Amino acid sequence: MSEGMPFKVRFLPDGKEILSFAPKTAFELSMEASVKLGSNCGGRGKCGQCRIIIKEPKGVSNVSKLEEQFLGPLKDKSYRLACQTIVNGDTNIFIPKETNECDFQIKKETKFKIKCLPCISTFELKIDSTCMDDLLSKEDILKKCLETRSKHAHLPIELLKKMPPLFEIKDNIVSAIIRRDGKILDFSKNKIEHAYGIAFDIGTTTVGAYLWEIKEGRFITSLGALNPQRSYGQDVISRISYSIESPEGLSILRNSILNTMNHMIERLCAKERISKDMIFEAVVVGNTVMHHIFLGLPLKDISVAPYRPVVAKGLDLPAVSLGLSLADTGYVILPPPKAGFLGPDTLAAVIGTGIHKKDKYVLLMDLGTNAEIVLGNKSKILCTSAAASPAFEAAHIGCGMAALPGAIERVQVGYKGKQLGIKTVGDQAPKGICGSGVISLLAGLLREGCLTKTGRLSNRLSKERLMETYKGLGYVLAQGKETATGSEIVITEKDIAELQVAKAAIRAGIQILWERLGLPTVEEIIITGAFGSSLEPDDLVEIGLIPPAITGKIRVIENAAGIGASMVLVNWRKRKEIFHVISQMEYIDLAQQHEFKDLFVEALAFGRY
Amino acid sequence: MADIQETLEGLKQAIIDGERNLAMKLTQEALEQGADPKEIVDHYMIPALEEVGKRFEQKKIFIPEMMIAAKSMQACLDIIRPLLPKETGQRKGTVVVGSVFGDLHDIGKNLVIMLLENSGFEVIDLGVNVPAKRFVEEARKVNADVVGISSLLTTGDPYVKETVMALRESDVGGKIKIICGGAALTEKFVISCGADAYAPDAASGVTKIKELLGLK
Repeated sequence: MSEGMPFKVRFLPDGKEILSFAPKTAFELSMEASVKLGSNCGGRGKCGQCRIIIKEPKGVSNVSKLEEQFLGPLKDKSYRLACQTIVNGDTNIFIPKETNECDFQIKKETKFKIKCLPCISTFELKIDSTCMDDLLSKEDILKKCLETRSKHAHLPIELLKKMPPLFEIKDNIVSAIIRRDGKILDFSKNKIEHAYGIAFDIGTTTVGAYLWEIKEGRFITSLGALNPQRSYGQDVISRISYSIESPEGLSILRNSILNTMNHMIERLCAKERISKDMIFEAVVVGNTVMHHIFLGLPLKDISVAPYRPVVAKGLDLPAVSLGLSLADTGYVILPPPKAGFLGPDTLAAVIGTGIHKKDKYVLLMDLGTNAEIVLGNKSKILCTSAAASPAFEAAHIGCGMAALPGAIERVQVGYKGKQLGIKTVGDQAPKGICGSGVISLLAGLLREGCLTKTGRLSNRLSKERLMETYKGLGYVLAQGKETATGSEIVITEKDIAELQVAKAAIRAGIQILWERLGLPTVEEIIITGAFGSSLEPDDLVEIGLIPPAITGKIRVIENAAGIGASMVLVNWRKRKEIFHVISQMEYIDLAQQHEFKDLFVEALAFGRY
Repeated sequence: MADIQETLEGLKQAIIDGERNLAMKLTQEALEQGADPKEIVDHYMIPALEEVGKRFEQKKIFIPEMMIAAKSMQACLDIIRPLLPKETGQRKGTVVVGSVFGDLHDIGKNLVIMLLENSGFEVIDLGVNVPAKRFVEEARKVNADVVGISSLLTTGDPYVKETVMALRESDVGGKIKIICGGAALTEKFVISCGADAYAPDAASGVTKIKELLGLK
């Protein structure tokens, strides 16, 4: 193949083809061809997830050492890693099912008990001749007629674009939707029966959408999807890097999440047989990096200490300016971030759990992809982010995944570490293990004396559960024949070491907040995040994540941020509370606390202490 | 009267095992039994940490145990340091170390510093979030042999590059050895920036530095 001659790459089973003029990795080519390839590290050769099959390796580079390490026996079955395979000639690339990710799944129905105080209302208006001054513009006439209803009525330009001519509606009754701040969202010749709104929680790994009827305040349904930005990096730091390294990086990241959100809106509309033109408001929360990417704000400031967000106030922007497919006259409400690593989603979680109104102290932990900790009550709220400390980027364990179908969410460990059972999300064949699964495993091994406090697998363990891997000694969670991928799922001592580091950061963070508040009695502990719902409270104490002295009732809420975002959507008091809550929250930067380092090292050990 | 030898062997093991309180207790005991402070450090504490470093390099232990052992060592050193005679001996070399601009991580950096100092190097700690200019100024001022740049976040890559280039383009560029460390970096990237070596962690960092200077 001579230099500069184009070659054709075909992706199967889709059949998508792409022509390339220069050697590129299969990963890069898949992105160019818009073919979905699962990846946790954005093509950096760190996760081993981008598995492809190349039956005829004529036009591709030889198998690298790195690939051999990740693929093991699979390399003999023509498996390759897309990010390590350089393609230089005509090639067919087959994407196996486990690498091809399905985007959408309907979340199980979330029961919401939210007090609704709608932020919009509908009313009827008659435009009669007394308003029709010849010298006034259409907008002025409408405003004059609306004066009796609202002194601050505002007619957005998008509304004026689609309103019928005045002579058609004159002397007729029209219905209108008005927001509390006076913005008119819709005029209709017919009676307006319903109006809708969506609350979005953009997580690093999963995106949640909650559809509400916002005229009366009624929950309709919810939808979940994977965050497509994962192709560019599993965690926020690698996405920040991506946006800085590549000139179009930020807009690529932004477009990918917008597309997903708009697809979710389409799906919800199809399912509920409504039109997007009836969706007038959206509330969008997420961590600060997700917030900035959604808005198209640059990430360089946030990327270095002191991790400064570009904007720290609440925003209320026309949907058309953001590219979100709501009604043309729709608005997007964006609650503010508190800090570079404490975003609007944590604020939403505080509102959702009502910590700011409680007499009793509540410890709230969002243990999704990042780790935010909030401790407080109506007098004072402290918050911090454990992910912004030495634990950042540490919790990358080989077999780890979010709480999606196939994730092991609970392990029952028996005598000598033999397993009594594993439970996976969706009861599907296991693909990996998620947060709650890891915690139950570690707690179980500790109780059976099969894990030392320093994180080593002890020789009490039954030999059938042990395996030597290229990364060291590991515990076998599931044999190859039991798994979805055909390879065994093993958690190594090195993985456990990474978890110790993450656990130590969270534990030290909890201790610092607790000490700052004077060691109050904590009545309630709430865990939220895409963590897996089968969390056994005592396991958290067994592994030393929570001090036994903080023994409040522990409960898991699947999405506190989604609940909070929904409250902001359908309850005008909650919208007003945003400003007060954010001022009430005090952010503690763990890296700057001199006692953090010592507490961190002490918290590395497993055990109850 | 307990055997001094036993106490000192026990101390060495306690540091390796990361038993901080036991190590501190045995340090006190050894001193009370008349052991020479310098000997305790040179023949028991440093070898303990070197053993830990070796096991880490061999992937027999990982970061948590390394950190716990280092903390135990630090606690014992704090007891002994006031009793040590002033350093007059030959230093193996001068190393300037810092975490790159924008990065606040320092555990790895501090481990390297501890290991280097105990191996006989003169170490200047620039701290964290250090701009490129500062690395250059200090390297020049102390006539450094090696400059160590620590970076633990991938977002630090452009600043690592900037720092290495600034050092190379300066008047000390031809003389100093530059090593970059941290899990987020790769050998390929670091060498392409113009550095001499890469180390993924503290223990291998010290080994590489010794190699760069042609020492044992």
